[in-house]
Amino acid sequence: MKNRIREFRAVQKLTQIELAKKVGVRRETIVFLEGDKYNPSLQLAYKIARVFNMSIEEIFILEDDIG
Amino acid sequence: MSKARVELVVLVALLFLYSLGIFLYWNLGEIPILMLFLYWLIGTLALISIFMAYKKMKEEKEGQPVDDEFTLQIKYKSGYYAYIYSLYMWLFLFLGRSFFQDIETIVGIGVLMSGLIGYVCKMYIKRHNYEK
Repeated sequence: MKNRIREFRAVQKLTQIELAKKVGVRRETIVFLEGDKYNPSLQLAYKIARVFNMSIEEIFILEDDIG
Repeated sequence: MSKARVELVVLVALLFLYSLGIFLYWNLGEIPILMLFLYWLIGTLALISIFMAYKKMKEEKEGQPVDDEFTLQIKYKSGYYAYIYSLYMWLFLFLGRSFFQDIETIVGIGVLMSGLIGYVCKMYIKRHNYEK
């Protein structure tokens, strides 16, 4: 699973800590998410999507769908 | 008192008691080199734990949770692996019991190794692609 969290976070000028606080997780979780090393729960994915005001599909991309 | 602060206070108290114990033991007579090395290793691990607890306390003050879904999953997964590898470690300690002077040394090494195995498993799972 790939994601565009880093990209959208930069657009909204949010730091990793700010995003972590908004979605209620630790900063290291955001680090692992941005590095594509962790797939979040559906609940966390929803919270992240809500912060960016986008749908889950716009942020998280299944690798089968790439290319 | 917050969870991270309680952890820090308990760790500092334990390290103090541990240092006091070593000091009293030192006064009783000479400590063998191997035991000195083990004591040094335990002390170093305790200091690392104190540093980690302090870091967690600072992060908690910043508003970050002590644990979340990712850190809990790392804990559960590393706990499982640490349990399995500790079983093997105790088995090998039992098979090689003739190398040790007494039961206390075997138990001491076993407890220390269990802690080390737990730490290594946690670090390994965290660093080496958790999802796989």
